[in-house]
Amino acid sequence: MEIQRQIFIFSEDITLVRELIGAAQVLAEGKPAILSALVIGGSTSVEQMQNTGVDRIYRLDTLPPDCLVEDIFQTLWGLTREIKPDYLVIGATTAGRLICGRLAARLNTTALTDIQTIEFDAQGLLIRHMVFGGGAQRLERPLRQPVVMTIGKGQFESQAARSEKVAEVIPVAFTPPETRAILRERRELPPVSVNLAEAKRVVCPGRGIARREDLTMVEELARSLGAEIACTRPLSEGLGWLPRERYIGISGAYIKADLYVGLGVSGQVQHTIGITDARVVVAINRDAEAPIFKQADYGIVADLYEVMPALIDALRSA
Amino acid sequence: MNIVVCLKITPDPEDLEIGPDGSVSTTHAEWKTGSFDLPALEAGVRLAEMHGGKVIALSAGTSQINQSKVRKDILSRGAEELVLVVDDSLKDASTAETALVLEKAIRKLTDVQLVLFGEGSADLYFQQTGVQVGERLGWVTLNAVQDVRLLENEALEVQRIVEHELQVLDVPLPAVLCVTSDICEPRLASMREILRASKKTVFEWSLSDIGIEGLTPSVEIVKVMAPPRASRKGEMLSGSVEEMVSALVNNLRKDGVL
Amino acid sequence: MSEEKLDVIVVGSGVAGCSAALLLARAGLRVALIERGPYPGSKNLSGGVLYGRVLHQIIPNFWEQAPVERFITNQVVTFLTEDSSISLDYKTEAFSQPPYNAFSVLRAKFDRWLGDQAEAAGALLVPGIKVDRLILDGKKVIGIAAGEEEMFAEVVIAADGANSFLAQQAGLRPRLPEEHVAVGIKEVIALPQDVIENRFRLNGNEGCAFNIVGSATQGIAGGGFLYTNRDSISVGLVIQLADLIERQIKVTEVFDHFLQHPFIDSLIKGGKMMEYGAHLVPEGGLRMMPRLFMDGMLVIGDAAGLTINNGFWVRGMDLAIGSAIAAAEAVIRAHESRDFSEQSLAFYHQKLSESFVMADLQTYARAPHFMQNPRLFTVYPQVLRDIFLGIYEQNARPNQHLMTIGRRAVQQNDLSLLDLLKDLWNGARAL
Repeated sequence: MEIQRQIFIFSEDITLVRELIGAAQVLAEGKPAILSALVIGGSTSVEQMQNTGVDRIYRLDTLPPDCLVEDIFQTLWGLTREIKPDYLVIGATTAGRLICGRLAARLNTTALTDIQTIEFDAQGLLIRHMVFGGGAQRLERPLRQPVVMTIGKGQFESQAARSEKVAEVIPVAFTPPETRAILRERRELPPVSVNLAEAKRVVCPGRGIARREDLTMVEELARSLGAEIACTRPLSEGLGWLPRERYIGISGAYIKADLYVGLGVSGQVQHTIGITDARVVVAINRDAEAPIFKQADYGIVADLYEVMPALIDALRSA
Repeated sequence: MNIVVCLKITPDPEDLEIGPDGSVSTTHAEWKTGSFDLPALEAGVRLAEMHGGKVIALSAGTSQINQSKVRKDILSRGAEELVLVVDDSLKDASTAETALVLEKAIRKLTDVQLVLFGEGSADLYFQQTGVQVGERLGWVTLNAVQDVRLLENEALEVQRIVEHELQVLDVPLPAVLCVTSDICEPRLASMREILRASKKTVFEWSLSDIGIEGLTPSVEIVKVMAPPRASRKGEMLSGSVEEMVSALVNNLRKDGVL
Repeated sequence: MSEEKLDVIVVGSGVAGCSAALLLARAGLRVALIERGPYPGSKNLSGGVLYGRVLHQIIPNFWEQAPVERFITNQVVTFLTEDSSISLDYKTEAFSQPPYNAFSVLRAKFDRWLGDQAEAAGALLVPGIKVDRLILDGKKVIGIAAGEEEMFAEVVIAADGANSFLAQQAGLRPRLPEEHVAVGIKEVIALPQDVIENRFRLNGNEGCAFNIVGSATQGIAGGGFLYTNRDSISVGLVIQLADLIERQIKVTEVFDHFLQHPFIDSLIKGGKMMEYGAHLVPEGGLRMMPRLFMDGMLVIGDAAGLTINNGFWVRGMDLAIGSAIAAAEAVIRAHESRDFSEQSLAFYHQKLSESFVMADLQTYARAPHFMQNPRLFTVYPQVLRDIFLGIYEQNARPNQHLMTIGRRAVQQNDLSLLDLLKDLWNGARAL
């Protein structure tokens, strides 16, 4: 009898776990495999995962109050030694990346991050992910076993409860880490005011905006369009005009909006990779040579400060 | 105390050339220190300036990383020494191989209490090497670090932003920290520092210098290609500003996105 | 301020600055070579034909290691009218033997290499620094300042290009008078190596250089050039700034028109534009030369106005190296005698006067004036076109003698015989 593949899943984010199960189904190649997942949380978390095709749910009620998510590493490591998985599938959150790296280093094995697609050829598994700030994609084959991987949100289909299979729920105890940082203070940050990934329309100022005050005009345009305000990375990280969660592109947000309006955005690939899935792209820039025009549905070469008020007027009168 | 800052020297992603067939080339790209790594160097240098100690910059790669311009750039930003582990088998090295090499190099250096990494490399941005090195060394390891302060008792106070939570932590030394780009603004090198850089020490180590007899790749790169591009209409509107704006609004309405 | 004072600060790492730094470092002087861009050549857009003999003197057989593109074996002068081209194509085997006459170079690569040589010789390359001003002690230059920072040396060499801000600040020369300034605009167009070799009938690393006059510039004083590199073509225009301003034409419009001319188009078609840029070119020759030395400072290269354009060729890089050699000799001598006064540094001017640089500038002293003659860009190409049309066109009418064709061409274009004779005389004297 063929040995069944062991796939072990972890993320502290329960909605992401269901997408990881989707990825695990692809990894199983339609052959029998044993899917196990470590879940932090109560019975509701477990219920959300029932009938999704998972065989075993290792359940940890809660983390000790002064612990970080990544302090689960020692518990995860214990289970890894017990399960001996072929694939370790981890959610690409901040803690997930740290855990992935530590597991890969301790196992002296391949780590594959932010996987976008999973496929198989005659020689086995191939994954695809972005390199060069989104300028290229790379197809890679892991050469060591097991394979530790991270997968971010929105890459794989979330598994709905459609399997007959009822998972076996196994309670686990928390194993404290050997050495760790001592948490002195933790503070919930004010809720993020924006979810760009789900915005219908997005206006995006770039370096063509000369002064911070001019963002009020951008806000006015956003209001008349019913759009969220995003920005390019320099406006957020360089100038600090807008919060981090508003910048589009590599290491920032990826939008799926119906409409994207770039205001003085030059169109570096690091940014435009984030608007690939936007349905209609409008570019307004004074520089006719700006690369953004090559990736726009509609282009206007003109002074932003003339176009914005005219556009606001046109939208109001309509 | 020595602070090691690990830097990746890569072809500038801005110089990436995409061929008509979707092929990707870095042949003509300028090699430079990753832009996410420079804030880590600056953070290390500021700690050393405040508390004493020496910053040693460390990188690993093919012989292409050992260029006078790159060396000078790193050393003029405040690192006192530069260690380059050079071996052509490091071409396309994945995170597992690079982490092994950096770990061995750090072990060869003396009195290292703190190792800093940027948030990710400029070319791959896998955000893995730093945390893997931390685990290999067996030191406390944290990513997403936004602020570092050295406390009296040989420990660090670290501030982190993890998803929607801000954390303040006491971190015992030795430690490995991966810092975000907004930890601090990298300095522009001054003339004096650039002149001083040419007198600083650069060590070039081979793999055998750090006790590695050969690297086994952990990943095979099967293909590198340009990402699929959404096909766009590319319609340039013309006329006066009012005419262009009204044409735009009409088009957007037709497309059903208003 | 600094731990050790420098002997020399060279500002600008083009061909002149790199050569001077190289020679001074070789002589054991402590030299800083300051560059505005991230590396030597990064801001440089020269058309790129290097007459190599003088560089051969300081780096023997440099072409064996330097990133030169092709050695120039064909020198072509082309006259354009709106619909025709007439070329004088000189090709000689003599130019395809070492030490070669001239090379096409791409400055971003070549200057960088020359900078590497200077660094290897011990010069301290300081990139990414924009020098804001000279520091003076009375009338003596004692250093430079960039932002808040100051740096001192026994002598400053200004190699900061056509627009030399340092020479202006030192009062060695006024702002460039517009009539003696041209705008250079250039593109580098990528084409496969074999396409270039077939299209220009080149064997191996042979290359050609075109100087183009006539409708290239829509009658504006100036000319075009086109050089073959290994797998690209440098093509550009050098146009009188004053004329451009007077006629209110944008340089980009003239350039686009030039590129679309059937003759140019046939040479660059299918290529992909890789690089584009514009900068100022000094064109005044001897008349525009500033004072070249003062207490604690020398001016070399383009900053010293050292270029010659005689219609057949444009030269600057070899003159720049020539001036660097003379300057280095003067500074080394001054260093030995610990005397950096104006009198001591006057030795630079003496060495320059004895060299080919001044000799050639004298020879072509009248060229800048002659080259501004509008007939050169408007009437003569048209006359030539009409003559050749008369010779070759078979229009079912009796053929005419060459003399008749010529006379008619001259008359049709309203060219007075007196002007023609005057121009011939002036041309022969100027060139």
